[in-house]
Amino acid sequence: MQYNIYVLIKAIYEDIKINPNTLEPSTTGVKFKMEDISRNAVEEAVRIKEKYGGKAIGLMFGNEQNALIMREALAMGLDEGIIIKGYTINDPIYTSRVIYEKLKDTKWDIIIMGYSSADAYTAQLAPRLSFLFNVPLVGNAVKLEFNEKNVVATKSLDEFLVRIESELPAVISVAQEINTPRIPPLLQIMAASRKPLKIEEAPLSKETYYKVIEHKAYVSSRKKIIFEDINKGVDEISKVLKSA
Amino acid sequence: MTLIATALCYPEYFDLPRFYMMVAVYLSASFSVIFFFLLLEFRLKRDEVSLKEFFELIFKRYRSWPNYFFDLLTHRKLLRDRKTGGLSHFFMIYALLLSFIGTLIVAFNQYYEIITGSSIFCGYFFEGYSFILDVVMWILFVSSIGGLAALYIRRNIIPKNDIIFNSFYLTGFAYLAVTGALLETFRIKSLTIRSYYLFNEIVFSFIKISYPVYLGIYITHFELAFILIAIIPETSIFHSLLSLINYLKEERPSGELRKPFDLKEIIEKGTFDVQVGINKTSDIKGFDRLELEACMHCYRCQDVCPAYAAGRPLSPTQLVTDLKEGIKKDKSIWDFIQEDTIWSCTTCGACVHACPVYIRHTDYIIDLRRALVMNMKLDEKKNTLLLALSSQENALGFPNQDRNSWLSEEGIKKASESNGVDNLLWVGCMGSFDPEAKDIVKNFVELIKKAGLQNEYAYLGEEETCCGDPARRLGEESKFQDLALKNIELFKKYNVKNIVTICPHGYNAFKNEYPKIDNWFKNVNVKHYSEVIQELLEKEKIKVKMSREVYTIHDPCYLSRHNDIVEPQRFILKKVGIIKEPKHSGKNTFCCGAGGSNYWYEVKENEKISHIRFRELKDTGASSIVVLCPFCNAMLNDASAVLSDGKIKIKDIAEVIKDNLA
Repeated sequence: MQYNIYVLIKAIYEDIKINPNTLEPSTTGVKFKMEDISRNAVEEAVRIKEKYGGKAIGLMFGNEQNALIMREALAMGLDEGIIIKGYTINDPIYTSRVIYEKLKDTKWDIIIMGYSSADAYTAQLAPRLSFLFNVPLVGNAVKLEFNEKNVVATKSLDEFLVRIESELPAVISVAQEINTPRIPPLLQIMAASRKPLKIEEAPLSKETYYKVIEHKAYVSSRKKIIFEDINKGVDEISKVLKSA
Repeated sequence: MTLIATALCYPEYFDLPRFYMMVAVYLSASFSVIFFFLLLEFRLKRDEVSLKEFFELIFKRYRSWPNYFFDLLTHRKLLRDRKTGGLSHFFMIYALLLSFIGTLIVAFNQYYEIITGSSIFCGYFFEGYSFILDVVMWILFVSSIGGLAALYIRRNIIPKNDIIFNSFYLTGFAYLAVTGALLETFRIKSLTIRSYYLFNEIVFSFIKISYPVYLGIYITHFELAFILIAIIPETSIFHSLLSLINYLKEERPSGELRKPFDLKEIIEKGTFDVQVGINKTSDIKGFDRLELEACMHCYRCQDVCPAYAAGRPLSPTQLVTDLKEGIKKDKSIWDFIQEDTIWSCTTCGACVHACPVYIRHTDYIIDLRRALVMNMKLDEKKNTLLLALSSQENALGFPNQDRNSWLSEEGIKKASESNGVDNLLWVGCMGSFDPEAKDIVKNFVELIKKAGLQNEYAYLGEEETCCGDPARRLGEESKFQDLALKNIELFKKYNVKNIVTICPHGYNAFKNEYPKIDNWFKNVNVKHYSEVIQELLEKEKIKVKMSREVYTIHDPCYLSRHNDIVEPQRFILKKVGIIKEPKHSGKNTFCCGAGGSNYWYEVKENEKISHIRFRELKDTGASSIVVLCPFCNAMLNDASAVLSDGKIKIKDIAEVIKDNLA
């Protein structure tokens, strides 16, 4: 049985610089990278394709400058890449609606993605997609096996492993433990420029479900109480702790 | 003993039908030569090398001949690590050489006689050389028998084919030696001459040789000699020629890796389909196949290999043997070589420097790694290095923001703020982000300041990335070239003239590898900070005081073995104390375990390489181990944390000098 797989890939900022005066993040000149768990999702999609056959297509709601990241995913083994332009801010409602619009008339068996993204950690996209498409959600998988029209997923809860079986098509989200993603060398990324990569306009106009009041870095300020006399240290510390 | 009044001459074809014998000898010689070349062509064809290419290589690289023959005549490499075997080989080569010269003299004498009617191989010349050959005969005989014994002892660790051919040749040499002496004895007895042949005469006096036996010995002697020459290309003795080929075929210093493609060219032309690395045995081609065939299983490389000593799954000898056997059939490399064998190597180069036939084990290892990288078959730790190199462009994965900005406070300018850069202080990934390595830089900068030279240096700051060494040695050639190209653009922009590195790996990459990426880089002078400290001391820019401290030196592989920098550290330390050398020092140093990107990943082992090295250094009884590399520093400090009794300290060379400033 071959599967038509869409793997969702997110592009996130590498390291955001914090302006020490305003405490606001500055993204000018900061590079993008493939979001960490998206990388696991790509790896898993490629593995499913390699094992069972089919086609694995990368789908990103991002921007034109993220083409290099999509090429990296193509170098890992995806067959095609699609970038939908117009991403501005982390908003799982709008993102899920954009992806739904894009894929609602397409035949697919698996949508696979990271359970959550390393920048926002909302973990909302997979359940929202499952709802919109009205297909089962197979969440937080650490192991996936396929059996014709079914998927058997192992998901990790704190103290146990749970095996769930579901029909396809399904939306599957994976946890980072599921695999060690392959890292393509630069030459392979360059060579992947020959694979089809489409950059499309968003199928929906911009919708806003959030209002950003401000972006500010968290500052931890410690009290920096220093005791010089070691012999009295324990007493002094316990005093401070009690008064806190 | 009486001297012969009339000069005695060499009796050519003594007691034999001269004409028929000449015809027989020359026919055999011609057949032997023709057969040799036919067989050579046939043999080379198997590895897709033509006779023309083979001899072109030999003659085009004539400039390297003297060095090769220096190695051969001194037996420098064979004698370095093994005295008995080395000496046996030494004597055998000289015995064969002297016998060959004897044959040439005889031949020359014959033509001379035919033309002028008189002999020149007479009197003291003849008798003297005869005596030499009498001695040589015994040397050849004893070393052949010794060789046979050695083969017998090592019969389980040498491939069967090689044993058969080596035994055949050794027996042949022994036969040639004995029959040569017997022929001599027969002639001498028949001519009733005494004197110079005393020793052989005594030994052979009890042997009575009849004429038919004499004739038989005579014919088998020269025929066997010709056969042994003719079949060389199809036997293990081909190593004699292949060692020359191996020596000539690569002109790279051992620290420089092969460049399988040119990234710039690939980007310009858009031709990404390049064969990178070795996946299957048929990917090893031409002279690289022949290179493997030179191996005679002497195990010198295994004996010096730190990975083998640590119990990792790598023996360079076994690797070469496996590849040598493997190339006979086209198959996947990974059918017979474990991935961890390839990752065990620290690219310290000990094997390459030990090999008497100039095999470059590390070339194959790196090519195998390149295949694993291209196939994206690395484990998590190696992947982390690749990710760090692609995202942060430094090997430790730290953001480059404010990198080394503390140097500005020390009076060293940023390259972007200065007008052209005479001396660029390349701080390196370790120097920038590893706290202990940072101290090395701090101490070195203090010395520069003491000499009042801080204005002559500049640093790159956040523009500094990775030199690319970890990428290249992990097998990610494209990332290495990408980094090198970017760095060279940066150096061009600031018109950099000299680069000073803390790290020997950066030093090696800049010195040996960058000029092959861009010709412009040939104008840049690269120095290791130990060379700079030596200069400061020589020019008395800084002064030190002598102490009674005993130092031992841990020479970094990429400084001392690959780049021959052995003197500066000794010059420096002699000024401040006493040096006690460890067992492995200078060019023969022993790896700390970090090279070849090993710093970033782990391989199963019985003992850490750094522990083996630390113990050896500690055993010198010195009070300080002096290091000259941030990686060695980290590795030995880790080992010291486990093994030290607290008496021995690890100090960087800049720290030693700073502590002893007068």
